[in-house]
Amino acid sequence: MEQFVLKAEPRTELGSRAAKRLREGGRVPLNLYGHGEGNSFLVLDRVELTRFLNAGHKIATIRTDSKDEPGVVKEVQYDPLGSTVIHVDFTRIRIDERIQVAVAVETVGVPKGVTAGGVIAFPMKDVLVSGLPLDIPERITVNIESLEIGHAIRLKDLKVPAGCAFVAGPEAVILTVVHHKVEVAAAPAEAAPTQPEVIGRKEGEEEEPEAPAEGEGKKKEKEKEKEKEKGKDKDKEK
Amino acid sequence: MPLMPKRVKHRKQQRGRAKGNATRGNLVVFGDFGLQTLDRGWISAQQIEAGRVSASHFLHGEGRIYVRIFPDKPISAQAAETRMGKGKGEPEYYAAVVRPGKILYEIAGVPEDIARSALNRVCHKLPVRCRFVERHHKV
Repeated sequence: MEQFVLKAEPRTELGSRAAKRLREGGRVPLNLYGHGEGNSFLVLDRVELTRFLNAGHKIATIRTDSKDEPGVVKEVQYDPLGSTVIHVDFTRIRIDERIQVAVAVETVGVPKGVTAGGVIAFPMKDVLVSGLPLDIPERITVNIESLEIGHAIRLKDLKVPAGCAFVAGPEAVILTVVHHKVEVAAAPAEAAPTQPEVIGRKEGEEEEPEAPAEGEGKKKEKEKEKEKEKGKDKDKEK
Repeated sequence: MPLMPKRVKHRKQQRGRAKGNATRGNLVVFGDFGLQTLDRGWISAQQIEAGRVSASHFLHGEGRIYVRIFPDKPISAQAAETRMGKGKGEPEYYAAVVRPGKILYEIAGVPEDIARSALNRVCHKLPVRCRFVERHHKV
C-alpha cells in the first residue's frame, strides 16, 4: 500500500465547541491512539483528508512537528447528509506488525452472462486482508469477462497479494451473475388485503362504534332540523 | 397492491413531527449510487412504487434497484362530502416519514451516468428535493 503523508497539528482546545470552531475553519479533528501510548488529539485540513479518503487509502503517516506516526483509519464520521467528514480516528500501527484492512475489489470487463441477459450481484465489494502494512494493496483486481449466468467469483479465485492472506473463508462469494428477475404482474385487487391485520384483535371485532355512514348521517341531521322547525312553529302558535 | 405493513399494532396514528436529520439510513450501503432526500416529509406508498417503476423501466432490467424506505405510517383522511367531526377518518394510505439525509433508493451494477439518469427520473416522482450520492469506501 502506498505511503500517504497527512500533515497534522496538535489540538490545543478540546470539546465539542472547539471542534465546531475547527470545522467552521475547514479543518477536521483527528484522534490517534493505540499501542499503549496516550491519545494524540490532532487536527488536519479537510480537503487533504477528503482527498485521501475518496481515493480509498487506509494507511497514512501522520506527520506532526515533533514526529511521524504511521496509522490506519479506524472510523470516519460524516455529517447527517453523509458528504462532509466531521471527525476521523486513526490507530497507530507498526511497519513490522500484521494488520487487517478492508481492500476494495475492482472488476475488469463485462461478463458473458450479462450480455446474455444476466445481472451482476456483487455482495462483497471489500475483502478483509491481513498482512504487513506495506504489503497490503490499494485494491484487488479481478477479470470477470468469462463469467456466465449462475457462475460466481469466490475468494479462492482472487489472487492473494504477496505476503498477505484473506481473513474470510475461501468459499465466500465475491461476485455472481444471476438471472434477471422478471417483474410479475400484480395480483388482482380482490385477492390482496386492503388493510393490515391489527395485532391482538380477533376477526370481526370492531375497534369502536364507527361514525354513521354518509347517507345515514345526512338523514339524521335532516330529521333533527325538521323536529326543531316543528318545535318553533308550535311555540309561535301558542 | 401498494406497499403497506402486514400487521399493525394500531390502525390509526397521530401526525407526529419529523424533526432533525436522518441519523440512520443516511449512507449508501447496498448499491454503488443512491438518491438522498434533502427535505423532510411523507412519501406515500404510491410515490415510492412510481419511483421504483420509473427507474426499472429506464434500466430495462439492467443492474439492481434497492428501495431503502418503507411506508409504515397510516395517513387517515375524512371522506369526501362529509361534514367535519364524527371522529377521526379512516386510513387512506400509508407513507414513509423521511428526514434530510435519508437514502431513498440505491442502484448497483450500472455505470454512473446511467444510474444518474435513472435516479433523476425517480426524483421527479417524489414530493421532496433529492440529490445523487455515491458510496463511500469501507473503512
